[in-house]
Amino acid sequence: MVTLADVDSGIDKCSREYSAGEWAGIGVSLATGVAGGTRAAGARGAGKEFSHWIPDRMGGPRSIMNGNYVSVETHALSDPFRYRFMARNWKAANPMPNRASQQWTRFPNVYKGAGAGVAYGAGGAAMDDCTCTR
Amino acid sequence: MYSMKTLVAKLLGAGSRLSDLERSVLDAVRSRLDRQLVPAWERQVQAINKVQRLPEGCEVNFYRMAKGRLTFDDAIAFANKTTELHLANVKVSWGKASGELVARVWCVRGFLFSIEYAGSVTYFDEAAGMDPSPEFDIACELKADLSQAIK
Repeated sequence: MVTLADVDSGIDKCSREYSAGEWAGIGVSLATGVAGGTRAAGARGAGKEFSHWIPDRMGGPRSIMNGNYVSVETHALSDPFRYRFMARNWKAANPMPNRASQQWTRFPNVYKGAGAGVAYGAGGAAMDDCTCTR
Repeated sequence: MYSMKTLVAKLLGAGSRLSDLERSVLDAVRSRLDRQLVPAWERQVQAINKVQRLPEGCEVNFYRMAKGRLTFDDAIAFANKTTELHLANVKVSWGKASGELVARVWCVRGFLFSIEYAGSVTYFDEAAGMDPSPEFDIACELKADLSQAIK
Protein backbone atom coordinates (compact mmCIF):
# COMPACT_ATOMS: atom_id res chain seq x y z
CA MET A 1 0.00 0.00 0.00
CA VAL A 2 2.76 2.42 0.88
CA THR A 3 4.39 1.72 -2.47
CA LEU A 4 1.13 2.24 -4.31
CA ALA A 5 0.47 5.43 -2.39
CA ASP A 6 4.00 6.58 -3.08
CA VAL A 7 4.67 7.31 0.58
CA ASP A 8 7.47 4.81 1.00
CA SER A 9 10.42 7.14 0.98
CA GLY A 10 12.47 6.64 4.10
CA ILE A 11 11.16 3.12 4.68
CA ASP A 12 13.82 0.44 4.96
CA LYS A 13 12.18 -2.44 3.15
CA CYS A 14 15.09 -4.68 3.99
CA SER A 15 14.59 -4.30 7.72
CA ARG A 16 13.42 -7.15 9.89
CA GLU A 17 10.54 -5.02 11.08
CA TYR A 18 9.32 -4.45 7.51
CA SER A 19 9.64 -8.17 6.77
CA ALA A 20 7.77 -9.03 9.96
CA GLY A 21 5.04 -6.62 8.94
CA GLU A 22 4.72 -8.31 5.57
CA TRP A 23 4.45 -11.73 7.17
CA ALA A 24 1.92 -10.40 9.64
CA GLY A 25 -0.07 -9.06 6.71
CA ILE A 26 0.00 -12.45 5.01
CA GLY A 27 -1.07 -14.04 8.30
CA VAL A 28 -4.00 -11.66 8.67
CA SER A 29 -5.03 -12.27 5.06
CA LEU A 30 -4.85 -16.03 5.66
CA ALA A 31 -6.95 -15.74 8.82
CA THR A 32 -9.47 -13.55 7.02
CA GLY A 33 -9.63 -16.04 4.15
CA VAL A 34 -10.13 -18.98 6.53
CA ALA A 35 -12.87 -17.09 8.35
CA GLY A 36 -14.59 -16.25 5.08
CA GLY A 37 -14.19 -19.82 3.87
CA THR A 38 -15.61 -21.17 7.11
CA ARG A 39 -18.64 -18.94 6.74
CA ALA A 40 -18.98 -19.99 3.09
CA ALA A 41 -18.77 -23.66 4.12
CA GLY A 42 -22.16 -23.11 5.73
CA ALA A 43 -23.85 -24.94 8.56
CA ARG A 44 -26.45 -27.62 9.03
CA GLY A 45 -29.88 -26.20 8.30
CA ALA A 46 -33.16 -26.62 6.49
CA GLY A 47 -32.62 -27.44 2.83
CA LYS A 48 -28.90 -27.96 3.35
CA GLU A 49 -26.94 -31.18 3.03
CA PHE A 50 -23.35 -31.93 3.79
CA SER A 51 -21.39 -32.49 0.60
CA HIS A 52 -18.23 -34.50 1.23
CA TRP A 53 -15.06 -33.79 -0.72
CA ILE A 54 -13.52 -37.15 0.22
CA PRO A 55 -16.64 -39.35 0.21
CA ASP A 56 -18.10 -40.95 3.30
CA ARG A 57 -17.69 -44.37 1.63
CA MET A 58 -13.93 -43.71 1.50
CA GLY A 59 -13.78 -42.67 5.12
CA GLY A 60 -14.07 -38.93 4.60
CA PRO A 61 -15.32 -37.26 7.79
CA ARG A 62 -18.33 -34.94 8.04
CA SER A 63 -16.40 -31.80 8.77
CA ILE A 64 -16.06 -28.44 7.07
CA MET A 65 -12.42 -29.43 6.61
CA ASN A 66 -13.78 -32.05 4.20
CA GLY A 67 -16.72 -30.40 2.50
CA ASN A 68 -19.46 -27.83 2.66
CA TYR A 69 -23.11 -27.55 3.62
CA VAL A 70 -24.89 -26.88 0.34
CA SER A 71 -28.35 -27.00 -1.19
CA VAL A 72 -29.68 -30.34 -2.39
CA GLU A 73 -29.34 -29.19 -6.00
CA THR A 74 -25.72 -28.08 -5.57
CA HIS A 75 -24.92 -31.35 -3.84
CA ALA A 76 -26.48 -33.38 -6.65
CA LEU A 77 -24.71 -31.44 -9.40
CA SER A 78 -21.32 -32.02 -7.79
CA ASP A 79 -21.76 -35.63 -6.65
CA PRO A 80 -23.02 -38.29 -9.09
CA PHE A 81 -23.79 -40.61 -6.16
CA ARG A 82 -26.27 -37.99 -4.88
CA TYR A 83 -27.44 -37.00 -8.35
CA ARG A 84 -28.97 -40.40 -9.09
CA PHE A 85 -31.55 -39.93 -6.33
CA MET A 86 -32.93 -36.77 -7.91
CA ALA A 87 -36.22 -36.83 -9.84
CA ARG A 88 -35.89 -37.79 -13.51
CA ASN A 89 -37.67 -34.63 -14.51
CA TRP A 90 -35.06 -32.54 -12.68
CA LYS A 91 -32.18 -34.58 -14.08
CA ALA A 92 -33.50 -34.09 -17.60
CA ALA A 93 -33.20 -30.34 -17.14
CA ASN A 94 -29.93 -30.44 -15.20
CA PRO A 95 -27.10 -32.54 -16.64
CA MET A 96 -24.02 -32.78 -14.47
CA PRO A 97 -21.19 -30.36 -15.18
CA ASN A 98 -17.75 -31.73 -16.00
CA ARG A 99 -15.70 -33.46 -13.31
CA ALA A 100 -13.28 -30.57 -12.81
CA SER A 101 -16.23 -28.31 -12.04
CA GLN A 102 -17.71 -30.96 -9.72
CA GLN A 103 -14.45 -31.22 -7.80
CA TRP A 104 -14.15 -27.45 -7.46
CA THR A 105 -17.67 -27.26 -6.01
CA ARG A 106 -16.94 -30.09 -3.57
CA PHE A 107 -13.58 -28.72 -2.49
CA PRO A 108 -13.94 -27.33 1.05
CA ASN A 109 -14.52 -23.58 1.08
CA VAL A 110 -12.21 -23.32 4.08
CA TYR A 111 -9.25 -24.17 1.86
CA LYS A 112 -10.49 -21.95 -0.94
CA GLY A 113 -10.71 -19.07 1.51
CA ALA A 114 -7.27 -19.84 2.94
CA GLY A 115 -5.79 -20.01 -0.54
CA ALA A 116 -7.40 -16.76 -1.55
CA GLY A 117 -6.20 -15.10 1.65
CA VAL A 118 -2.61 -16.25 1.20
CA ALA A 119 -2.67 -15.24 -2.46
CA TYR A 120 -3.96 -11.79 -1.52
CA GLY A 121 -1.38 -11.33 1.24
CA ALA A 122 1.52 -12.71 -0.77
CA GLY A 123 0.45 -10.70 -3.79
CA GLY A 124 0.52 -7.54 -1.72
CA ALA A 125 3.95 -8.42 -0.37
CA ALA A 126 5.24 -9.15 -3.86
CA MET A 127 4.15 -5.73 -5.09
CA ASP A 128 6.80 -3.86 -3.16
CA ASP A 129 9.93 -3.02 -5.06
CA CYS A 130 12.28 -4.51 -2.50
CA THR A 131 15.70 -5.30 -3.90
CA CYS A 132 17.16 -6.72 -0.71
CA THR A 133 19.64 -9.51 -1.16
CA ARG A 134 18.81 -11.27 2.09
CA MET B 1 -7.62 -36.85 -32.98
CA TYR B 2 -11.24 -37.84 -32.67
CA SER B 3 -10.44 -40.76 -30.37
CA MET B 4 -8.30 -38.47 -28.18
CA LYS B 5 -11.21 -36.05 -27.90
CA THR B 6 -13.47 -38.95 -27.00
CA LEU B 7 -11.01 -40.13 -24.34
CA VAL B 8 -10.74 -36.66 -22.79
CA ALA B 9 -14.51 -36.28 -22.87
CA LYS B 10 -14.90 -39.63 -21.13
CA LEU B 11 -12.35 -38.68 -18.48
CA LEU B 12 -14.36 -35.53 -17.87
CA GLY B 13 -17.55 -37.61 -17.67
CA ALA B 14 -18.99 -36.22 -20.87
CA GLY B 15 -19.34 -39.06 -23.32
CA SER B 16 -21.31 -38.45 -26.46
CA ARG B 17 -21.72 -41.90 -27.96
CA LEU B 18 -24.06 -44.74 -27.10
CA SER B 19 -22.46 -48.01 -26.04
CA ASP B 20 -23.25 -51.25 -27.85
CA LEU B 21 -25.42 -52.36 -24.95
CA GLU B 22 -27.34 -49.07 -24.81
CA ARG B 23 -27.93 -49.24 -28.54
CA SER B 24 -29.20 -52.81 -28.22
CA VAL B 25 -31.63 -51.81 -25.50
CA LEU B 26 -32.91 -48.83 -27.49
CA ASP B 27 -33.20 -50.89 -30.66
CA ALA B 28 -35.29 -53.44 -28.75
CA VAL B 29 -37.68 -50.68 -27.72
CA ARG B 30 -37.84 -49.26 -31.23
CA SER B 31 -38.76 -52.68 -32.60
CA ARG B 32 -41.87 -52.69 -30.39
CA LEU B 33 -43.06 -49.18 -31.20
CA ASP B 34 -45.90 -48.39 -33.57
CA ARG B 35 -44.51 -47.76 -37.04
CA GLN B 36 -45.67 -44.13 -36.92
CA LEU B 37 -43.55 -43.48 -33.85
CA VAL B 38 -40.32 -44.87 -35.26
CA PRO B 39 -39.20 -41.75 -37.20
CA ALA B 40 -39.48 -39.54 -34.11
CA TRP B 41 -37.72 -42.21 -32.04
CA GLU B 42 -34.85 -42.41 -34.49
CA ARG B 43 -34.52 -38.65 -34.70
CA GLN B 44 -34.43 -38.42 -30.94
CA VAL B 45 -31.78 -41.14 -30.67
CA GLN B 46 -29.69 -39.57 -33.45
CA ALA B 47 -29.89 -36.18 -31.76
CA ILE B 48 -28.36 -37.49 -28.51
CA ASN B 49 -24.97 -35.86 -28.17
CA LYS B 50 -24.36 -36.09 -24.45
CA VAL B 51 -24.50 -39.41 -22.64
CA GLN B 52 -24.23 -39.24 -18.88
CA ARG B 53 -23.40 -42.50 -17.10
CA LEU B 54 -23.84 -42.54 -13.36
CA PRO B 55 -21.56 -44.51 -11.03
CA GLU B 56 -21.71 -48.31 -10.93
CA GLY B 57 -23.60 -48.30 -14.20
CA CYS B 58 -26.95 -47.92 -12.49
CA GLU B 59 -28.28 -45.32 -14.88
CA VAL B 60 -27.60 -43.64 -18.20
CA ASN B 61 -29.07 -40.26 -19.13
CA PHE B 62 -29.42 -38.87 -22.64
CA TYR B 63 -29.23 -35.21 -23.59
CA ARG B 64 -29.48 -33.22 -26.78
CA MET B 65 -27.28 -30.15 -26.62
CA ALA B 66 -26.70 -27.20 -28.94
CA LYS B 67 -24.14 -24.49 -28.22
CA GLY B 68 -23.69 -25.82 -24.70
CA ARG B 69 -27.39 -25.67 -23.87
CA LEU B 70 -30.06 -28.34 -23.58
CA THR B 71 -32.52 -28.52 -26.41
CA PHE B 72 -36.07 -29.87 -26.35
CA ASP B 73 -37.09 -29.66 -30.00
CA ASP B 74 -40.87 -29.99 -30.07
CA ALA B 75 -40.70 -31.18 -33.68
CA ILE B 76 -39.26 -34.52 -32.54
CA ALA B 77 -41.12 -34.84 -29.22
CA PHE B 78 -43.63 -37.62 -28.66
CA ALA B 79 -47.28 -36.74 -28.16
CA ASN B 80 -47.17 -38.29 -24.72
CA LYS B 81 -45.51 -35.58 -22.64
CA THR B 82 -45.96 -37.19 -19.26
CA THR B 83 -43.43 -35.72 -16.85
CA GLU B 84 -41.88 -39.12 -16.12
CA LEU B 85 -43.02 -41.98 -18.31
CA HIS B 86 -41.87 -45.55 -17.74
CA LEU B 87 -41.81 -46.57 -21.39
CA ALA B 88 -40.45 -50.11 -21.39
CA ASN B 89 -38.70 -52.91 -19.60
CA VAL B 90 -35.98 -54.67 -21.56
CA LYS B 91 -34.58 -57.96 -20.28
CA VAL B 92 -31.16 -58.96 -21.54
CA SER B 93 -29.80 -62.43 -20.96
CA TRP B 94 -26.95 -64.49 -22.30
CA GLY B 95 -26.13 -68.18 -21.99
CA LYS B 96 -22.82 -67.53 -20.25
CA ALA B 97 -24.27 -65.08 -17.75
CA SER B 98 -25.60 -66.34 -14.45
CA GLY B 99 -28.23 -63.63 -14.25
CA GLU B 100 -30.18 -61.33 -16.49
CA LEU B 101 -29.99 -57.59 -16.88
CA VAL B 102 -33.18 -55.58 -16.61
CA ALA B 103 -33.18 -52.18 -18.28
CA ARG B 104 -36.01 -49.76 -17.59
CA VAL B 105 -36.38 -47.12 -20.26
CA TRP B 106 -37.83 -43.74 -19.30
CA CYS B 107 -39.07 -40.71 -21.18
CA VAL B 108 -39.40 -37.23 -19.70
CA ARG B 109 -41.86 -34.74 -21.17
CA GLY B 110 -41.94 -36.42 -24.55
CA PHE B 111 -38.26 -37.21 -24.90
CA LEU B 112 -36.31 -40.41 -24.44
CA PHE B 113 -34.28 -39.69 -21.33
CA SER B 114 -32.80 -42.61 -19.48
CA ILE B 115 -32.05 -46.27 -19.04
CA GLU B 116 -31.99 -47.56 -15.46
CA TYR B 117 -30.39 -50.93 -14.92
CA ALA B 118 -30.92 -53.68 -12.39
CA GLY B 119 -28.26 -56.36 -12.63
CA SER B 120 -24.63 -56.46 -13.62
CA VAL B 121 -24.51 -53.84 -16.34
CA THR B 122 -20.69 -53.87 -16.39
CA TYR B 123 -20.69 -57.56 -17.21
CA PHE B 124 -23.11 -57.15 -20.10
CA ASP B 125 -21.43 -53.95 -21.29
CA GLU B 126 -18.09 -55.73 -21.55
CA ALA B 127 -19.65 -58.75 -23.22
CA ALA B 128 -21.40 -56.52 -25.77
CA GLY B 129 -18.02 -55.15 -26.81
CA MET B 130 -16.57 -58.59 -27.60
CA ASP B 131 -15.58 -59.43 -31.14
CA PRO B 132 -17.58 -61.12 -32.52
CA SER B 133 -20.48 -59.71 -30.54
CA PRO B 134 -22.34 -62.30 -28.45
CA GLU B 135 -25.94 -63.08 -29.21
CA PHE B 136 -27.94 -61.71 -26.32
CA ASP B 137 -31.51 -62.76 -25.74
CA ILE B 138 -33.40 -59.51 -25.56
CA ALA B 139 -37.06 -59.22 -24.63
CA CYS B 140 -38.86 -55.92 -24.55
CA GLU B 141 -42.17 -55.15 -22.88
CA LEU B 142 -43.73 -51.76 -23.56
CA LYS B 143 -45.27 -50.19 -20.48
CA ALA B 144 -46.78 -47.05 -22.01
CA ASP B 145 -48.11 -45.59 -25.23
CA LEU B 146 -46.00 -42.76 -26.63
CA SER B 147 -48.65 -41.79 -29.16
CA GLN B 148 -51.26 -41.01 -26.52
CA ALA B 149 -51.50 -37.23 -26.42
CA ILE B 150 -50.81 -36.10 -22.88
CA LYS B 151 -49.68 -32.56 -22.12
